[in-house]
Amino acid sequence: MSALELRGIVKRFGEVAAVDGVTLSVRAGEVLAVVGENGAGKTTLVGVACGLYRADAGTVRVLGRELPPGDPRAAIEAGLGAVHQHFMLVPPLRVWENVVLGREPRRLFALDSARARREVAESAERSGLSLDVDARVEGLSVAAQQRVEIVKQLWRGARVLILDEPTSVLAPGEIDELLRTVRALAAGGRGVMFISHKLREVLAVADRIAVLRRGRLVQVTAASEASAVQLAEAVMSASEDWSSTPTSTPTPSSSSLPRLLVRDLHCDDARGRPALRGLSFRVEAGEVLGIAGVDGNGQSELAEVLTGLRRPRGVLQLDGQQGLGPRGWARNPGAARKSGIVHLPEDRHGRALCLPLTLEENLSLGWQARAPYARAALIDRPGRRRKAEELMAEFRVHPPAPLARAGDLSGGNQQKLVAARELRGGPQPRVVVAAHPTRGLDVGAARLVHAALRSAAAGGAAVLLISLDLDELRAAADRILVLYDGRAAGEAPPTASDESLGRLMLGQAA
Amino acid sequence: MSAALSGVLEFAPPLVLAALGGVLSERAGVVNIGLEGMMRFGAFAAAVGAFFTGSPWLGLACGALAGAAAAAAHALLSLRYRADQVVSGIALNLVALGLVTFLLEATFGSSGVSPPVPALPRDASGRTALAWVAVALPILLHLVFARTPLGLRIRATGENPHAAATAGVRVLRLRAGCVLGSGLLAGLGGAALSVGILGQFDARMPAGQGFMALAAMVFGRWTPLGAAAAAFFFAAADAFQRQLSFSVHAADLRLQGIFLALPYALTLLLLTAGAGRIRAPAADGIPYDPEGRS
Repeated sequence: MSALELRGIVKRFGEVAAVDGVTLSVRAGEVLAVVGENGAGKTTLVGVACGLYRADAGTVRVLGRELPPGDPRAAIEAGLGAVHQHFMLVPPLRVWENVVLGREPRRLFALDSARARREVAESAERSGLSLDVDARVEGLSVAAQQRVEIVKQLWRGARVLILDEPTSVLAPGEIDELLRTVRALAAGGRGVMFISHKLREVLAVADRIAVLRRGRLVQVTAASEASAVQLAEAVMSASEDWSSTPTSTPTPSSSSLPRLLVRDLHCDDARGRPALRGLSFRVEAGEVLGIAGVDGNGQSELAEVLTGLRRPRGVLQLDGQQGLGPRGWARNPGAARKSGIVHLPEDRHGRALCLPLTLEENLSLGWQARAPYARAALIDRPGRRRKAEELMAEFRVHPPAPLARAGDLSGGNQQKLVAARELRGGPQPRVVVAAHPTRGLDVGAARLVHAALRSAAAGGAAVLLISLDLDELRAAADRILVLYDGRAAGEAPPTASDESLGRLMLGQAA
Repeated sequence: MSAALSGVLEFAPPLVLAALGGVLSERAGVVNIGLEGMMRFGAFAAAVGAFFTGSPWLGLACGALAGAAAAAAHALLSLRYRADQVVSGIALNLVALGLVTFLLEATFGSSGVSPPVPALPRDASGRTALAWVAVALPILLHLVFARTPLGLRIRATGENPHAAATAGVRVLRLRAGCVLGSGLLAGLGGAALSVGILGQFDARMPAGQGFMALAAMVFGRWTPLGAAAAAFFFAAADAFQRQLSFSVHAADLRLQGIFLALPYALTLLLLTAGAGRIRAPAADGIPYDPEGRS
């Protein structure tokens, strides 16, 4: 009997068939990996399995029992636990409150908090996950929040665990720890469905690997018989071969003024604690500078400072022009944008896209007052439509429907939309600030974004690529600057080893 | 001044009950700007109930039920049809204004006040049983929020309904229950005005008390104890203002206007001073779409 069995699942969002007839099963004690590009339907499949979405067709069985559609409570009761890509946690509540929510132990009418805290702590301990049960979730690191999610499922007695892109938010060391946890859970008899697009992780952790493409199941193979090359081919459809995209070699300008100069930069984070503490570096036009570091060492604040979202102290120069002060180019986001600074922000829902608006409207945001998006004071509808179609074709946004809502796209396609707008939607940028631009993206889409960043650099932009993924930085950057505690811990060439970069990331001299 | 303070327990119940209603609804994530209208329905239904049954207690029950019925309309519009909660609340207030005026005319043939109706019994200091309800209920609601599974679910739903749903909480059902409870409390608050304080219905009721209750809710940071404390404070200001209105000195009459504005001015002040620190439940006012991609 399968731990989890999906049969003939179909789910549509508006005009988009996100999952189109998928049949798949997970056995007890095994890790089944599901890989696929963005928009292949992985997240939607998870949503259907755990009852968040009502499938248009098909059935879900957990331990042999068929689940009523669209009923998350029934899924939980049947023994299915899901850890979603966007964590389903309530930030102001404590860890134990988040874990027991919906199935609270009671004493008479009251919540038995003593028992709840004890049981949650025991659950965490048994599975080797360290957690402070009384901490408030909003103060936890991303990795700790993920542990809360896993403990939440285990405490609820999940026999089948679905992990949706669990590693996309983790740093390298944390990833290894998670993979060990996943293996241990399977060894304990649970069935695990592991959603990812990082083939290396999938090969390391899975027993079997299923490949989704455009909502359909393409193949299922044993991990022992699979190879990274064959999987990569299966994941990417023939039309999505990006290896032929022309890439350029950087041509750093030899002028004495760098494109971007940062000296002794200080600023506080959103909670008023020092985030940047004397950061200095320079980037030349035509160069891609990778910014590495453990999450929370000042990367987010650096991106905000450069794009005018946060006010720092120190020196900030763009081709010799001052960025700070009442007339500086970094005084506000509008001024920064006018000066040729574009931004692929970390939080694409919060800062890059307006989800209820259409794709063509989103593509014009920030450029909406200039040609070809506008003529005189009015929106130029045919011009905007032509430009939008051109951008969507270039970045292979799926579906390429100018009137679809941005909120109906998958995460990866949303990111392609942002990259298209920022890098190619307006005039040639002078500085590109790209924060985790390929987080949650599959191989094909990531290559596309990297190529677009490279071509922006080739066109004369200075590119800052902020990432937690060392492989990404090696593949796309000319130099890697490591941030530690708000300062530059050191610099390394892209050929540097994991070990030497890791030492810098921990604040130790190389 | 001491007379004003002793008047607090007499005049506070409507405000406290309605403010708790606001807290209950908004902590679950549904903005309830219709408190004013629900109070109005409650005040009128209570007067009608007391008049025809002869019992102020049955009147009280009628008032609570009328408030809940009005809240049911708000719940239907804002939960089932995902209407904008502010718009739905304002519509409810406007309907209450017109419909109750019409019903007053139709029932009692008057456009100003109803005939005197049986009022709740009072103790020596003029307090009704509702005064003690207004003291006990905030504590009870606080315990529900802090100590019961239901309270945890309400808090979670108001902050992140999608997370609550994946944990197995039935978000829409819970929200509907909280909105109905909110209407029940606001209706009871309205009844406290008519069969509690005045002993008849006045066409001007509740005269902005529903909005003042909203201010108390914000002032109290969406907590039962805070909102009740603010409501008591506002009621004290109100009682003081009433004292001033009996004064013969022109200067005191000018002061009265200041006291009328005091609750709102204080709330505005608090909101500006505490900007960034005082925050509503994160999902307050956002319709819940089970299949919305978060």
